[in-house]
Amino acid sequence: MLEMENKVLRFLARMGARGSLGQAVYDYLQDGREAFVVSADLAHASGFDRIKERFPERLINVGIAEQNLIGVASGLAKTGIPVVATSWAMFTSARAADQVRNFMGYMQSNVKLIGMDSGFVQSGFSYSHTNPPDIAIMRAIPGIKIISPCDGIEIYKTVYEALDTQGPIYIRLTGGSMLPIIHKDVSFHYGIGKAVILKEGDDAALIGCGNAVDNLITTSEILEREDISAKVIDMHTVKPLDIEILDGLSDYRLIVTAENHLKQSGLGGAVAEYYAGKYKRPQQLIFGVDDFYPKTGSAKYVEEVVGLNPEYMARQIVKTLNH
Amino acid sequence: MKNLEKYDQAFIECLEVSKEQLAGLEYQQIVNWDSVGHMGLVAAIEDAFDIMMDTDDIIDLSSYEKGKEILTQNYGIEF
Amino acid sequence: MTGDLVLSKECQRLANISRLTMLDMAEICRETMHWGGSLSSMEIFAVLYKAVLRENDIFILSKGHAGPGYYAVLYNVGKISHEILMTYQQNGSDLAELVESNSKLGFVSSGGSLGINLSYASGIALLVKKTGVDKQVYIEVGDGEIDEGSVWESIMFASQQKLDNLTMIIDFNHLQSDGNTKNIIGWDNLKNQLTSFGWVVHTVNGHECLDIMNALLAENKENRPKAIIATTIKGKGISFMEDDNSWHDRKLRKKELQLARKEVRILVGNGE
Repeated sequence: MLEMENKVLRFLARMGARGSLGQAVYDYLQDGREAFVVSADLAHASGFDRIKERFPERLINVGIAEQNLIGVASGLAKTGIPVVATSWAMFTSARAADQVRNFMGYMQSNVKLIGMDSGFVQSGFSYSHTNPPDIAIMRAIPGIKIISPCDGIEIYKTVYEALDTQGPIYIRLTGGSMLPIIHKDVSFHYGIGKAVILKEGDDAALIGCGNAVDNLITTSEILEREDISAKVIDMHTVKPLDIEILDGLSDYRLIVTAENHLKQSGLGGAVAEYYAGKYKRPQQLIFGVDDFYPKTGSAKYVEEVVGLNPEYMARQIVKTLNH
Repeated sequence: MKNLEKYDQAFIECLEVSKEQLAGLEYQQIVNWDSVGHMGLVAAIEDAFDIMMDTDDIIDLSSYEKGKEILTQNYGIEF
Repeated sequence: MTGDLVLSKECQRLANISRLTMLDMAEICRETMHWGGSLSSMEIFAVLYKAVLRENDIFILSKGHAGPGYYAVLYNVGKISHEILMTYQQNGSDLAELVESNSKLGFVSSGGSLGINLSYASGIALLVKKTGVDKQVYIEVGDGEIDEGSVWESIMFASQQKLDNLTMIIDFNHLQSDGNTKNIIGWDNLKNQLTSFGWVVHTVNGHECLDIMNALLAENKENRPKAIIATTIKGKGISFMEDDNSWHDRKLRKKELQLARKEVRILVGNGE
């Protein structure tokens, strides 16, 4: 494991999402831990070059075959050795869902499935690679933990902890080749299922996962200028939700969720479902993508089109609070 | 620390080389200066000089000497 | 019907002019482009659009990341306007990096998600047979793409259904994202594999327009679908890209663009 010094924050930010993934898996192997690493023709893209050099017997490439990826990874995990399996998020979810359901969901194979370039990272390619409904699909498969880390150090800690935790886990990477630095203290305590309060505030609670967390922080700064104080929460684990933190928000006038994902069935949906049965529940604004396919363009362009940019979110929040 | 010392330190720590190996050192010449080592080096240089490097400059930083050139020309760092 | 030598030379010229067009596109596009896989398909696209496709025939680019090369050829045969070409990779564009289904522009299917289009092409070919229309269905796939099991479901189906109006061209450039196909899923035996699955198989040099044309136009009297394995070079036409997998998806820098332009201009100028 990397020495937890603050300069690691910048290093991982520069490595990008997949670079941070690769570094974490490599360090795990360097620490003498057992694991297998499988990819669907994306070993280089996953940041596994060093693993290929120094632990070639641990790395398996199945080619462009995501259904086979899941089966092979699960078979390799039969005796409990953790297996990392990587492909683009669209294909780890939409393409291979049935295999994921059987091998990881029902049979609980010890596979850490990584959906890379989720959200809008590849929005310049086509709708085919944009806005994968990965949280939605994984939520609909019982028995799989779902994590969406928000920056480099969180990706690193998530992957490491996932490898150390028995059971199937889906990790989605929403960042590109240069990540924001959200967690400024490298030794912050990370735990699967434990949301992190990044900022305190009383007027509204902003809950995000993945890259949307960065946008929420900016949103809270815009709100501050309007004298609205917002709490910002990094809810990296979508399943299981940190219900302790959610219970602590029931007195808030307004909670907001934001994610680089469809509005329906993502983090927002999960939070809304949690509160639905409660007698006292805050009003909730859900930010994400509506029921359509945004046209191709940069990630920033897509955020503006779908309403995940800070200016839009802040405006909607102010409007709602003033109502 | 003087600029040259800071620059050298970044290389020495990140790439695990000695001061004697710096002159003429090139990207991919040693095992540690692969694409991962390169990012570590960039991050360390950025930290040391409190700058954010441009993508093109990161690609162009192909040797110890070239790095100095780039930092002087594009970031006003005198050695 | 055999190919015409003069026509094949025109196809070659079209391919090279389209390489030049790709460089013009690189100028306006600030992102990475799939150079390798587009350049390896240029002769195939040129032959299809200049010598083979009739008005109602269908072509599906299953290997959607050859989009930039495809758009360049379509522009040069007048199927898309300059105005539209210049929207390539711009925000909100109809010309995404990976081809997206668009009836207005004549993109029959989306080629971003690999391995699914032979299935669609088979469905269309079957419909054509059932409705007694005279229509050929052509599809181009990549040799990494055929790793996908779904392709083989369709290969078996097409043979079962005797879809002799269906032609699959494989851009056989021996490279995929992680390197040489032989180190990942190798296809040394592809001709035999496809033959044993009930297809008629031709093998051609994917950069010889006359060969490609002859294979595409060869009469198919066998009640079986046709496959053409076109051996190509990834990055063909720009020397520093040829067979270099780092150009799978990469951004051309100014100096590289100038060098590439010089090279391709010579190709065009030589009437090649």
